[in-house]
Amino acid sequence: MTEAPLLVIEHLAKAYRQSRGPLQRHTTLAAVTDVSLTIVRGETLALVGESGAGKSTLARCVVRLEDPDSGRILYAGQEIGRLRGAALRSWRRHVQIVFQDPHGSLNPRMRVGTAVREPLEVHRIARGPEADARVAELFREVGLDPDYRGCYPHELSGGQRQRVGIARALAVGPELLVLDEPVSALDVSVQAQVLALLRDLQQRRGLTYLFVAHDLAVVRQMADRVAVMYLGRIVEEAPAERLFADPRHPYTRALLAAVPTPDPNAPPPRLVLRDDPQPTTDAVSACPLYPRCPDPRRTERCRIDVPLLRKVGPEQRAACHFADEPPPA
Amino acid sequence: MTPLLEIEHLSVGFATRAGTARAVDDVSLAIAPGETVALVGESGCGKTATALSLLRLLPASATLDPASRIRFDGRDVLALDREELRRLRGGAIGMVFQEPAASLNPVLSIGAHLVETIQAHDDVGSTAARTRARELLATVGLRDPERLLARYPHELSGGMQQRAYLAMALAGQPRLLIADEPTTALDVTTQAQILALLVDLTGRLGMAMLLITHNLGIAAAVADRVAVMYAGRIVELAPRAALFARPAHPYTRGLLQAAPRLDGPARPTAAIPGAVPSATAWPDGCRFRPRCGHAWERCRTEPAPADVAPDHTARCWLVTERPEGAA
Repeated sequence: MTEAPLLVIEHLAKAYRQSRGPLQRHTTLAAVTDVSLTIVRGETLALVGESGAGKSTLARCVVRLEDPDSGRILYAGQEIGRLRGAALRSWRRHVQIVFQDPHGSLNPRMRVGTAVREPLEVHRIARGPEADARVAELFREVGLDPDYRGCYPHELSGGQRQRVGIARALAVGPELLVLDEPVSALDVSVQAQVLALLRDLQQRRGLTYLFVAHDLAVVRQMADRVAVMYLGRIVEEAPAERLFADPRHPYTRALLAAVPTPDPNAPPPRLVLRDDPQPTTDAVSACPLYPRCPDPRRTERCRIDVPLLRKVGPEQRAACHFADEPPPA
Repeated sequence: MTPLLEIEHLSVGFATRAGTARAVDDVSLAIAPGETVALVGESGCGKTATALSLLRLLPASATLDPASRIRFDGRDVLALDREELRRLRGGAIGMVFQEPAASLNPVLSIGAHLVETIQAHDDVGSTAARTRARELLATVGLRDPERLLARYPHELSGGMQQRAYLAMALAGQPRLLIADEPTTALDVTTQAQILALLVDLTGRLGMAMLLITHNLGIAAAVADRVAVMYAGRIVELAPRAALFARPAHPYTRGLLQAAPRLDGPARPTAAIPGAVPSATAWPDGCRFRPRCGHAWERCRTEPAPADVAPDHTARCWLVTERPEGAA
């Protein structure tokens, strides 16, 4: 790709101190370990993984709700960690986040019209009647009747609330939207409406998405590229089509196999991960998947030599010693 | 075969500020011994209220319509006295709910949970109860049961908590397990483990199961029959193969088309227009009418369940009639 990326994440790391009790020493839990990613303008990069994979931590670093311990994030060439004052405020207009549960992220005592209007005033984009008109326009853009402006969040359905969350994020005219599990809290019959809206907005506004999700079937519909995280690391990254057709990391394969298909003739998953992920609190020498790896090729080497994320095909990277070839049938 | 569980004309109303919400409306369903039935539906459709009413665990704000009948193993559940009900709950009928962490007591060890549960149903000493507790933990696939007995809930992962919770539900040797969204709070790889375990347990122990889920994929993986609920009613009931191969109700078809999936070509799923209605304001006539692409004049009157095929019913006029002018 020749275009300069909109977002570059370089060697990002973030750990949290964990208290084990008043008389115990703190331990550190690595939430994100050495993550590097790029996002090109106009594309959707999906970040997938299970709880504890570090995907939300990473998303929060991208919008500067968290600061990384090391590594850096460049937005349109500017290191966001160094932005201060007016430059920071102006950058915040370019990057917005939509949360999973609009019930939790909207102020229950604030009318939803006011919630959408607030960023317009904070960023001095519009005020008075002009702001009113903008809010009505934003409501229409996300498929809500402007009559809903006077409602409180609890008076709306889950799908309507998520539309409000999206309108609020759009109010400042962002280029990059971080969508943190945007449809996970919605009913299946409504999920597709919100996904269609997001697709439509991306086209019309030329938006770039960092789409954080645990549901691979949803990701398959939305993503241009997919990065799979496991215990804080990217274990595989590929164009969506490739990732779903020819996953090279055993964790990606197990994750795909675990998704139940609404077809009773579908074979039960052959590839089942044992036990649970075991987050490590110390420096590790083993592949993080080693204790659970279902790949029959797993060897002693996987226990003593951490596989690095490396190129295994056109635009495909995987962190597995055996990723050069598809698994034996 | 005589059904193990028989629900007839079950209706549950909740008193709300906006009036009485009939969350469950005239639900009838039977489960045979050893059979797994999945009750599938979206939020607010009444699936959890149905499950809770089976063990009379509904909150005080709920009232059961007098026409409701629930029979378990030939006995009238609604006529049981407190002691009989206590023995039934966690005895012949076991339960697991969505959030194991919320159902386990944080200050009691796993062993204390299990011993208490076992002794509530069997008059056994603590040594025998602990032996039984170890067996139960092994039954649900937990390694090193002895060490686990001393552990506290927060020391276990979500998947292990759900297994331990399942072990408690099995303590009374249930003939029916009610599992309400047992894997919804879990990650997908853990979910796959728990679903495999549930299939294994029902087969091995000859236990029937009422599995409540919003996920058609889960129903396809574990159920013998599937009941689809919408707006307080069962709108379609069929053996698993028939439901997925020949869904008759437009809501079932819409739900299948809306479900994102990994098989087949990658394409956007089709949404069902509108939103799930609220129990205080069910639409008149067919409750799916405002969201249905096939609705016609007839749908202003509510349809009764009609036979699509033997053992397959749907509450839709299209099963028996066609709108004028339609092919």
